[in-house]
Amino acid sequence: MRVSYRILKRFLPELSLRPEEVAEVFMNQGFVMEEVLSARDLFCSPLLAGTLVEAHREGLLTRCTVKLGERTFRVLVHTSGVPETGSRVLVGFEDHTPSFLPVRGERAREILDFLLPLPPFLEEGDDVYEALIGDDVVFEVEVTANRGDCLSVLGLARELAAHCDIPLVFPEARYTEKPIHHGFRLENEAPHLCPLYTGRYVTAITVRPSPFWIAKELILMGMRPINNVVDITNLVMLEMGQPLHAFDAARIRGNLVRVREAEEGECLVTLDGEERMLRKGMLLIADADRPIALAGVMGGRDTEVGPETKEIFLEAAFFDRVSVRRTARALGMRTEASARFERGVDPLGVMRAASRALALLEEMGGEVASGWLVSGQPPFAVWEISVPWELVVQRLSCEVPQKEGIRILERLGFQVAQEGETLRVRVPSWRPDVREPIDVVEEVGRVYGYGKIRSSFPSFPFDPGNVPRGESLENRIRAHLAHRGLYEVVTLSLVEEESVNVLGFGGEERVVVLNPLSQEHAVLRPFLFPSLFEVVRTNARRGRRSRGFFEVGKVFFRKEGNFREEKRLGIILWNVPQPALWKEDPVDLFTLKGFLEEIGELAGTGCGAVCPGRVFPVFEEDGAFVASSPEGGAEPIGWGGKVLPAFLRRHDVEGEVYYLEIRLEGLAAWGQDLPAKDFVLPAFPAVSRDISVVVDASTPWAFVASLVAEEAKRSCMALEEFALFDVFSGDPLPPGKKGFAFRLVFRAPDRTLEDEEVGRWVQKLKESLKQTGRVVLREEMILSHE
Amino acid sequence: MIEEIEEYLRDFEGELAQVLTRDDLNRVKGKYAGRKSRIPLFLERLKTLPLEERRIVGRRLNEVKVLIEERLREKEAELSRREQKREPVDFSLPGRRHPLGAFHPLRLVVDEIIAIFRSLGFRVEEGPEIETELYNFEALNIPADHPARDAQDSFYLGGGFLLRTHTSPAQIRVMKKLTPPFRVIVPGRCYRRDAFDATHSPVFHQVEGLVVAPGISMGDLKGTIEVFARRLFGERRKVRFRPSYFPFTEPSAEVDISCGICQGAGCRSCGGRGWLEIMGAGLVHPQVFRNVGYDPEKVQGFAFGMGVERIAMLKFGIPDIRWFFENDVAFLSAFKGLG
Ligand SMILES: [Zn+2]
Repeated sequence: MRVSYRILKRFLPELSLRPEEVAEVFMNQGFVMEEVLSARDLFCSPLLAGTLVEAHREGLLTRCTVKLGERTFRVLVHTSGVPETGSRVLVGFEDHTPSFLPVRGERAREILDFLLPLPPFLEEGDDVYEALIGDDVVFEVEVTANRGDCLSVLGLARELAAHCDIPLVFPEARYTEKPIHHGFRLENEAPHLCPLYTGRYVTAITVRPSPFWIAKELILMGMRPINNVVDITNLVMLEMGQPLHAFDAARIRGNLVRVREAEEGECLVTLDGEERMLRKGMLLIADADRPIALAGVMGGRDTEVGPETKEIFLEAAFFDRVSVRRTARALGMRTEASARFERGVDPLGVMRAASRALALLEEMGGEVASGWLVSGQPPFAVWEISVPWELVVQRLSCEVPQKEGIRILERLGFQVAQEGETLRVRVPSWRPDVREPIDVVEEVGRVYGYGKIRSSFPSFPFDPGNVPRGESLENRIRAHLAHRGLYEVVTLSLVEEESVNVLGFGGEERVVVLNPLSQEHAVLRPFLFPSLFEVVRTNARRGRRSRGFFEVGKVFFRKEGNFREEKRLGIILWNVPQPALWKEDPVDLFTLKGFLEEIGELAGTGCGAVCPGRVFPVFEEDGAFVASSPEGGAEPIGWGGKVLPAFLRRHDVEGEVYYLEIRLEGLAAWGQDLPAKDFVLPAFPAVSRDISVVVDASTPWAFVASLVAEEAKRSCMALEEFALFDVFSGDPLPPGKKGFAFRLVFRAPDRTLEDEEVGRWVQKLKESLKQTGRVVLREEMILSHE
Repeated sequence: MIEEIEEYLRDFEGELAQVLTRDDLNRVKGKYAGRKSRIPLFLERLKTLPLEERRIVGRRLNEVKVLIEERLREKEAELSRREQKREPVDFSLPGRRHPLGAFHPLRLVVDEIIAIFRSLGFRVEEGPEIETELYNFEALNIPADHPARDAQDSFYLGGGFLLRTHTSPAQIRVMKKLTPPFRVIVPGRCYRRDAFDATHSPVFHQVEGLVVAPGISMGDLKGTIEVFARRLFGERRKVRFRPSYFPFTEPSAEVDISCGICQGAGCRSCGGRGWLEIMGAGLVHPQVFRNVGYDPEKVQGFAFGMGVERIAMLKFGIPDIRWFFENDVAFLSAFKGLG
C-alpha cells in the first residue's frame, strides 16, 4: 500500500510527526517500509501551468492548442478529455518534451486521453509542482496478510492515530438525494458468495478529467488518473479500502443487476481487453442477458464508463474472500480490488465508502437518485473478548500501564469496558483478525512497542543435549572426507528427468513434481549421483580442478505406493591432471573402495563384502561394485563404480570420474557404542611371518583370506591378524598367474610364543592352502627362468 | 679408595664441560684416560685391597673407565659436528601433506546454529521433506485459500502431499512426539515455487525452533534470540523485534540484528537501514496448540524460524544465493579451515 504524508495528514489534522518519524512508527507497528520516496520522483519535471487557447472538435477527437508563455503546442485529445477553452491545463515535460501527463516515465502519445485541468488561481507558467504538490513524501508500506484494513489510507492513519493519541477524521461523505426514477432492480442469486450487495443510481454525469487534487493523490498512491468517475471509485477504494465499481447504467440491459455464479464456458471481455473464459462457480455480476463484471476482480469492457456515459450504477459490495481469491487466481489476475476482497473488507464500511463516492460524484455535478438498492446484510456479528490485564503484562514481558493499554485499543477502534482487572474488548468490524485474548495482547504490544519487552530466559531444566548416533557419525564422516581433500557440496534435490533416466530408475518409483517450475527441476532425485555429477560438470565447464566432492543429502522414491525419503552420502572423485607441486595419491576404483572401508571403520562396523555389480548404466560394466551390509542383510549398503568415458565425453568432462553412494541411515543403525568391559592390553610379544603364494589370475584375494581365517580358527592358532601387503604378476610369474604376499601376526594372551610352535602353525596354513589345489607357495613355484 | 674414584670422575666431568677445542680435548683425554692418567695407578692399588672390597671397587673402577671413554667419544663427535660446516635446512619448502577440502558454508552455518542452541539446552529433531498439506498448512493455522499462502507457493506431489514450504510443520510433529516442557530446533530443507534469482531459490534451508512450557513469554523469546544472535554474529550486535504476522504465532515478530558494518547507523551494505532481518518468531498461536491436543491455557510456547542461506549470506558477505548451489571450487575453497 502506497500513501503520502499529506494524504495521511488529510485524515489526521493533528499529526505532528515528521515524515521520517512516520516511517519509523509504521515499521515499529508491523508495517515494513519497502520504500520512502520523494513525491518529486513520481511526477514529470518540470510541471507547468499552460492555457488551453483553442479547441477544434473533430468528432471523437479535438485539436487543442495550449499556450505556455511564448510557446504554443498543438495536441490531439479525445474530446471527452478536453476542459473548457481558456482554462489552465497541465503541461508536463518528459526529457524536455511536453507530454501533458503528470506521471513520470510515460512517453507522450499521439492522441491524449485528456488535458488535466488545473485550479483557476494558477497563472500561466506557474510551477505546478511547487504550487500544488510541494515536498510531499510517499511511503510504500508492506501490509501483512491479516491486515486487509490497512490497504487503505484510513487503516494506516488509524495506526498513526493510536501511536500519537490523536483523532482520526473521516473524509466528507454527505450528499443530497434526488427523487429520480431509474427502474433498476437487484437480484442476488448467490448470497453465500455475496452476503451484501448495494447499488446506487447517479445521473447527470459528465465524464471528463478529474480535478488536479484527485489525479495527484492517485498518482501519489500508485494509480493512473483515467476520468473523473473511475478516479473517484479508485480514490475511495484507496481511502477506505472498499473497492467500488461504476457501470455505465445505459449499457446494463433490462435495468437488472444480477449477482450469480457463472456457467461453465461463459465469456466476458474485461476492462483490460482480455476475453475471459469463465469456469462454473465463479462469481459474476450480470445484467438481464450476460455477464458484465467479474465480481470483486474486474469490470467488463462493455459496461465501462466512457466519454459518452451520462448515468452510472455504482456498486459497493462485500464479496466472499475465498471466492474472489479463487477466481482471480484461476484467471491469473490480481487487481487492487481482488487484493482487498481477498483479505476481507470492512462489512460495515461498504455503504460508507459508497456514500463517500456519491459525495464526490455530486461535487462533479452528478445527481444521486434517492434510495439504496440493497441485497443482504453486512456479514458482521459483535465479537467481544475478555482479557485479564495480567495476561497482557505476562505474555509481553513488560509492565504496560492498563490506562495506556486501553487508550491504545480505543484509538485502534476497539470499545473497551473495564471490569476490575479484566478488560471486555469489543472488536471493530474491520478487524476480523482479532479473535482471541492473545490477539488483543499483540495489539497492545505492537503499539506500546516491542522494544520495551524485557528479556528473560525460560528456566526449566536443560535437555542433556546428547548427540544422536546418526548425527555424530554423519559429522565425523563429513570431517573425515573434508580432511581427505574433498569439498562438501549442497545441491538441489530437484533434478531433470533425463538425469534420472540415465540411471535406469523406474517410472513408478519416481517422485515427480506435479507443478514444476521448469523441466530442469521436475523430479526428486532418487540417487545423489545426478546432483554430484552436475557439480563436476559445472566445475569442468569453468576450468576448475578438484579431487572430488561429497554431499550428505536426502533421496526420494516411492515404495509400495508410499513416498520414502532416505539420507545418503555421495562421493564423487574426479581424476583430472591438477597443477600440484607435490605428487598426490592416485585415484582409481581402490581409492573409492578405500573411502568405503574408512567409513565402515568410522561407523564402528567395518564394511561388508564388496562384489562386482553394476547398478547405474552409466558405470563401466566391469568397473562397478555393490557393497553389502556388514551384518549381511539383503539390502546393500552402497554402490560404486567408474563412470563410462563416453558419458563423460557427452558432458564435456575431462579425466576419470568415480562415484560412491552410501546409505547413511543404515550405517548409523548398525554401529554400536563400545561395550563396557575390562580392557586388556597385550602383555606378550607378537611373532610375525610372511607367506607368499601364487594363484590363477581369476582367484580373488577373498578366497585365500577365508582359507587362512578358517584354518587358523580350526587349528586354534593364536593368529592375531593377517594383512595383504603385495599383489604381483608378470615376470617371473607365467602369464595368467598372480601372487599374494601377506603377513601373519601371532600372539598368545598368556605366554611368549616359541618359534617352533609358530613354525608349525605356518606350515599347517601352507599345507591347507596347497590342499585346495588352487594355491601354490611362491617358494615351491618353478619359475620360467629357474 | 671408592671416594677417590668418584672424585676423579667429578673432576673429569668438570674439565670436560670446559672443553671447546680439539687441543682441550686431547689434554683432558691424556689426563684422565691415557696411560699417563691415574687409572693405571688405581689398578695398581686395587691389588692391595682385600678380596671382598677389591671386587666392589674393581667393578666401579671399570664402570668409570668405560663412562669416561664414552663421554670423550661423545665430545669428539660434537666437536667434529661443529667443525663440519653444513647447509641449514630450508624450512620454507612446503611440507609433505594431503590437500585439504572444506565444508560447505550452508552446513557450516547449520552446524554452528545447532552447537549454539545445544549449549542453550535445545535438542535437535528432524522432519520429512515430503509433507502433508495438513501439517504444512492447516495444522499451522494457514487455511486453504488464505492470502498467507501467497508467500508459500508449493510444489505438489499429489495425494495431499507436497514438498514442505517451511520447517514449521516439524513443530506439529515435535509436539505430537514430545511432552512439554521442551526446547527443540529442527534444521532442514524446504521448497518453494520461486524462480531462481539473487535472493530466491526453489530449494533452501531453515532452522525452526520451538520451546513449550508453562508461562513462556515474549521476554523468553527475546532473551533466547539475543543470546543466539550475539553468539552467531558477535557480542556487539544489537537485536530488535518488530511486529509481524505469521498465522501460527501470536504475537508475531520479525527479528533484526544491527548491521555489522555501521552498527545501526545505516550504510551501503545494509541498504541504509542499519538493521538486517534474520528470522521470524513469536508465541505459539493457541489454535496450533489446540490442533495438536495441547491446552493453550496450561502451556505456552515460542517458535522461530530462520533462513540458513540468508544468515550465511550475511555472515560471509555472499551476494548471490545461487552461489551456494553451483558449488564452484573457487567458491568452496574460500571456506577451508572453517568448521
Ligand atoms: Zn550498515
